[in-house]
Amino acid sequence: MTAFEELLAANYLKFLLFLSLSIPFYSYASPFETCPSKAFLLQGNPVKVYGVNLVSGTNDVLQDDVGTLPGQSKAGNVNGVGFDDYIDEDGVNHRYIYGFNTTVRKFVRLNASFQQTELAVTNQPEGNFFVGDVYQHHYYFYRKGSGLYKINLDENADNYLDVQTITSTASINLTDFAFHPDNDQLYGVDNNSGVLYSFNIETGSATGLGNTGELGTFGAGYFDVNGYYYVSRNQDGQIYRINLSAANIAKASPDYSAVKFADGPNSSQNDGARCANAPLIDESEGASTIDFANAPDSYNTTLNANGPRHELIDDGPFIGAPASDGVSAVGKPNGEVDANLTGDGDENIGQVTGFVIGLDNIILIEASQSAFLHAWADWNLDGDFADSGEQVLTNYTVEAGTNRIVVRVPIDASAGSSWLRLRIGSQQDLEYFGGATDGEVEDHSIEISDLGVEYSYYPSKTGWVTLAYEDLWPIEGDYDMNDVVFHYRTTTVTRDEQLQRVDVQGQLVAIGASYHNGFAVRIPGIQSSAVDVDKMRFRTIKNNAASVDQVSPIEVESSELIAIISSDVWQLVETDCTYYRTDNGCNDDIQFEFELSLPFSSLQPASAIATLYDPFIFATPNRYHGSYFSSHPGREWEMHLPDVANTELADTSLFSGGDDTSDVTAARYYKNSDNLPWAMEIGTEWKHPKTGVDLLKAYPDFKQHILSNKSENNDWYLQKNRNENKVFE
Amino acid sequence: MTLLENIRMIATIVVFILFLIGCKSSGSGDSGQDVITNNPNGNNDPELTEVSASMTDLIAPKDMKFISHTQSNLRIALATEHAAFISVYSRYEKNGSSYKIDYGSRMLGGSLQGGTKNTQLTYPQHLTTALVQIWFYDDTVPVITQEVALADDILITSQR
Repeated sequence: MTAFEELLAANYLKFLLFLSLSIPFYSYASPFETCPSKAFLLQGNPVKVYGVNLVSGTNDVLQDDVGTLPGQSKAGNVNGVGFDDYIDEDGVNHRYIYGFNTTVRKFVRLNASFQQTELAVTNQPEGNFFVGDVYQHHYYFYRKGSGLYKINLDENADNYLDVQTITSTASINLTDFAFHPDNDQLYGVDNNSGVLYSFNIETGSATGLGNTGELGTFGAGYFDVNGYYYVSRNQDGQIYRINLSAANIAKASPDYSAVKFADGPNSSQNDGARCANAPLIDESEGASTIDFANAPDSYNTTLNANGPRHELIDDGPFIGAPASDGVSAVGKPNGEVDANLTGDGDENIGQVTGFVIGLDNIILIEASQSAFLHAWADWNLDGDFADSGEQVLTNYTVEAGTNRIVVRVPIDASAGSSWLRLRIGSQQDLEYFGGATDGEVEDHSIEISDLGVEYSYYPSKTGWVTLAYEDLWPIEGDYDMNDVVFHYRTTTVTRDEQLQRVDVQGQLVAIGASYHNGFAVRIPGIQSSAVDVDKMRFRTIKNNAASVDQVSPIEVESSELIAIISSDVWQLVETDCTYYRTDNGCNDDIQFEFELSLPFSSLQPASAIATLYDPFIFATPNRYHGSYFSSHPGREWEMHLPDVANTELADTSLFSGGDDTSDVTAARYYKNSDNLPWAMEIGTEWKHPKTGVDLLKAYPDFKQHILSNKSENNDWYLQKNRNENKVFE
Repeated sequence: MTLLENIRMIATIVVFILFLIGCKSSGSGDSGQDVITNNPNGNNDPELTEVSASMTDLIAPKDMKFISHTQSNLRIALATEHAAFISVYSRYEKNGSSYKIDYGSRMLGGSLQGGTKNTQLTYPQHLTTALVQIWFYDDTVPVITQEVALADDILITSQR
């Protein structure tokens, strides 16, 4: 034998011993590695363990054999379970589930594979225990008529596994209770009365907090990290949510009503455990497998508002043609919309007759397969789907392909911008909120109108054109046309050929300038007092979060109607680069989007009808704007599209200075002596030149377009005609 | 050939094929062009038209508009009294005898009564065609779908 072989032989027995001890030991005692976001539901005899996704209600069996206790031939039922999210001072993981085996009346511990082992508990009270939870490494359990007890789970403690009686007074009818993740309170619902109680864990005294409005055997209860308490009803498996967040508890009169959250599996002998410190959605466990809605949150859109959500499963039904790519634009829990996506989902429904009041309107809806479709419309424009008559489709069977659906708009509906919510799935009786186990939800903006109203969209309902500004005026710039760049579109609503409303939407695409500029939109020829301020809307979307309503953007210093979108576009974005989205390697996403709706109290003259209206930039007040100015020009400095007049706040003494040749008498504005501009509109979602790159280097056809006065090369700005390496991205 | 010679031949063919594949996959690709150029910027994107002029060299016409939208007059004259809704779309695909429409591309939408309408259609200047669709609130009346060339005047008529 070699020396190595001798060494091996000498240690062989030790090695075998190590293996034999470590492998079964490891698999038998392994704790949960994480604090999982799933809820665990234990049902039946022999007990089965389900993982329940509280968000959608989807559940699956995780373990149907929890093993048998010594001397037993069957697993039995395990109840009163709680999750111990405990790591000791040395960092050793002790995450297990603790409970009570009601068949043999023994306290048990379950490991990550849900295998039960018996605990050698002393001073065990008589009777069966169905109510239990874990807190600060102690197992608390309860029985009506018996008492509230606790057991220390610390192996090093003197009273390890020795039952301590907290109180013998136990009159509340509980089938489960649970610890709040961060306020040290224990909560449970009395099944007979529906009253929510909190328990003092030092004295055991119970305090009635309020009525949840629901009765039934709530066999399983769970908390999430935000303090929401979920209870699962044995009789029908429905999961209700009770708001025990810090914000609600702090109110003078908190609302403790139980709201239907999702559907889960039903049976008797339910019990539940959950690691309360886990968020409801764990990104690492695949948040993208759930589809959320995206209307403003007054429509109960976000997860927090118990918004509609669907577990995305393979071959599940979706809104879209059967051959298409599946669910379009999966929504996120916070109502997030992707600012870089245009037209998400809009191709799936055709509002082919609009939504004209009092008429039977037709919607074309694509479905991938036969399924149930539910729909709601906000007819009275009050920001929710809760009013009578607002559910327009209930358990409507759609077939694969195009479905032609008739929707009557009530005669008393209000005209204006509104929302339509569609939920498709294999479940019936879905609400406009709450979880679903398959399918998807889509929210679509709609226009409810009177007969005779016309909508003009430029360039289209979901398309963009681009506005590009240079900000060195009145000094000629470098023509990279990227000092301020916006995507832009407008909606013009007319009635009897007069102007009823103007909507403007935009995205901040680039800032290739060190100066600070604001962005505004004027509606020429209309006074600011003409706006119906109650119906006006101004919303912004930042960093893909849900849209946020803003205060009125109307400029009070102007008599003409001017909306200030931002006083400083640099405040709207964050970047590590010198400029925003104009240089190689500076590939920040688009971070800011706005939506502005300006309805008028009375119809405005046809002369005010336009296409772009007047989007312009202005110098941010109190900021340097170039050495040409001896003091900060601020709002008095404006840059409009060429031959568009200044506003009343502009300093007209700047005209004809530097390279500018504006001549108010000739209606000539913002052009130099070569008739070249400092701003332009480009008829597409345009890729702007990189920093310092002359426009003609990127788009050579623009030269002839100019020289021919627009009679040639009118597609100069399209992708096929650009030099890719000269433009951003 | 001897075995060695066979091996050498096969190896040469394989290397040659790999060389061809390697060449073909370079370049930006999105314009479908496979030509490699010696580009001074160090990448393989082909430059379509190298322009020595810059904006400062140009003199534009005095009344040049630096906008990209244009308009057509749209006139509808249908021989029907039924109330209807007209939509005009810019993105659509012909699918046999029908059209697959991107409803998000609507440029115009509005009801018409008595079968007539006169309005302006505004659109980006590079568009050459659009799809007009007229749905009737009386669903016994068939839908009118017609592709139109975007010219100064667009007229839609029907016998119904």
